[in-house]
Amino acid sequence: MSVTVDCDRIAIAGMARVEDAEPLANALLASPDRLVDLSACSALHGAVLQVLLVFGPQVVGTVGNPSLEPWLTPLLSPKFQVIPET
Amino acid sequence: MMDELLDQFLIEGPELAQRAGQDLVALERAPDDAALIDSVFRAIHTLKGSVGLFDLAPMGRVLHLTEDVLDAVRKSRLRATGDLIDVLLSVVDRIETWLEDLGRQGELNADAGLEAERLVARLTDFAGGADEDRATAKAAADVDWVQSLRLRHPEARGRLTAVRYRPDVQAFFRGDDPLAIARAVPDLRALEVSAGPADGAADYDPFLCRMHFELLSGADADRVTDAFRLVKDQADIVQSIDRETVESAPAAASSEKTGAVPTSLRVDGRQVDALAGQVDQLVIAKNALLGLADTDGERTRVQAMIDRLTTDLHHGVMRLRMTPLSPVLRRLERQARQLATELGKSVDIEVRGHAVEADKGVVDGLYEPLLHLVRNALDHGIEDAAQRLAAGKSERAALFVRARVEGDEVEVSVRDNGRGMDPIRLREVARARGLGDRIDLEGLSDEAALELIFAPGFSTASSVSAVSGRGVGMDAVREAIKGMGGRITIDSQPGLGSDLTLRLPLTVVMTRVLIVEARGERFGLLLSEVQETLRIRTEEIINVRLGSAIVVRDTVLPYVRLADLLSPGVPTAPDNALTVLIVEGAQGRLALGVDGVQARLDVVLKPLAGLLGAVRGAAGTTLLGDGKLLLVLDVKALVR
Repeated sequence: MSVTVDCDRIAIAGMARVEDAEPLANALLASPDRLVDLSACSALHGAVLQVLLVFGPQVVGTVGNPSLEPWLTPLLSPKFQVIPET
Repeated sequence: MMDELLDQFLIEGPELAQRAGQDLVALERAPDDAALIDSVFRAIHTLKGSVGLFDLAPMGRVLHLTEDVLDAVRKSRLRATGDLIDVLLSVVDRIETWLEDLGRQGELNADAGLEAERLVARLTDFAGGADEDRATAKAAADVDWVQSLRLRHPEARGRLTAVRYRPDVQAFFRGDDPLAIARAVPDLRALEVSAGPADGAADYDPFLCRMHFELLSGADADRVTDAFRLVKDQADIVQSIDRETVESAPAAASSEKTGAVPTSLRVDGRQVDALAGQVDQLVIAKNALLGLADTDGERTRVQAMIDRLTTDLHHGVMRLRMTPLSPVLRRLERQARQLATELGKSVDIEVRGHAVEADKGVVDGLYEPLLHLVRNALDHGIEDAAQRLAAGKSERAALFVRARVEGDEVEVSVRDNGRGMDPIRLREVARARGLGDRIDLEGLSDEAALELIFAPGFSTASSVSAVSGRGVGMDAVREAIKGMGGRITIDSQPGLGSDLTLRLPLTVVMTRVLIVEARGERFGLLLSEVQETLRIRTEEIINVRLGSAIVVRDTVLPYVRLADLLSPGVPTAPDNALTVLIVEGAQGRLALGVDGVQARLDVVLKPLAGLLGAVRGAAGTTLLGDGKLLLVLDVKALVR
């Protein structure tokens, strides 16, 4: 399971596969204000990316994430980019 | 700047038109080949883009609509039927003509608007059939998305391939990852993705794909297309040229297009011609050195070296002028199809040998004679369907045009399986046309009777049709081929068909000539026709009934003086020692008396033009080292 849901944060770890799209969508449906943390994520399936684009949650952990491919950052466009809390 | 752009356009435009034409002809055989359709579309699209830079409204209008129609074909809204391809080929033909006009006179002809309207009307029939005005709006929008995508990514410059990729809704179910597909595009410069609005998120189904990608790649459209090969129908791929880049670095842009290391160089044909002319001059200058030749070993050695180098250089330059036959053959094929349609004959037309290369002059000169042969085959050679069936033949006739290299010649044959030529009928026709006075018709072998079609004033057609009857006979075809140093042969079987074959030198050849003197003037003789040179005494000339003869090694040969051949009836003083050349005349060997023999030279023979063209017995002219013009005689034609 690469999608972990906390009360205010959804963490995606490792390779997010097509089957991760549904729990992610459900979690965002249930609570749209949750942050999505990609700090531990290395790759996204298109279906997962689509969920992020459709729901537009605040995403953290993309900027400066060495394991995530750089081209993904601009896709999750700046409007919901936040600097990860340290 | 505008002129540079126009120059660039005049180089690229014909290439694009040629590619479109080539693909369209191929598409005729494979109407569903998506790669071909794409390729035609891209060629027309690029042309349209370039035309927009200039004041060429009629051309732009036609191209715009053509692009719409092709887009409809690409999106499978319209099928590439034979009719549609005919119209599209007419468009390409017209574009080629316009580009020629543009190159020659810097603007389109006054009737361009009218021509454009005609094509637009024909295209509209198809565009309207596809889906009314949607096609036009769609095509305009197509271009807009590329432009705006580029505007959003100004950092990506140069020649780019733009892709709009809208994956199928079921993509996730099928196990596709559209993101991975888009990511796999080579040399990705920009990637945008959207997934539609989040409205109605409550019933959002995460397994339905709603993504939409737009991307720019630095790779060639072909390579990008390859990345989308499994989802071809879901991606629009457009090659886009950054105007700014074209303006600032046209050379770079054109070499980038090939996507490979530029190993070929585009050179203006006129420069090659100029170079070839200079090499010809060099050959003449080299020949002038001959006059300075002596027995001194060193000078002779240097001269031999210059001789060899000049020959190599000449060959090298001639290689530069080698161009493929493909444009000529394509044009011919198109014309042949159109003619077959006009004549209402169903003919399978096959043209081969597009890759064969020959000297530009030869290639350029081939089209008219070949077209004439093809016209003859379609009009006279091939019967109509009823006649074919009655003769027990298949209803569809066949016409083959094949080009190939044979030794140092290019051979192009036009073969049909029509009615063939009947030697008996050819003799009858020749007699009816009054050729019997000049030719011993009954004495002709059947093979020789076939040659009658080359006789001036001969035409087997009982009525001159609009297609063949253009006032050019087969005699003109043969003259044209001979003028290029070639020959034409016929093979025909009554009832089975005809085969006419043209053989032409691959390059403009150097001709060896022998310079002789007669009546105080210098003339050239083709060395290939001279067998030997002898000195005889006047007493050796035997007077026979109508002329003179000499005996050479127990063989009696007719003797004629070159001076008498050139100006008969003018008396010349007999001399006691004579130079005689044994030459091959039209009726066998003969002895040709000249006043003296000078040097042997390698020359580039220029065919006679203008008034001199009518001179019988002249093979051509060449410039001598001293700047004087040398008339080279064709003994065979001179001695009849």
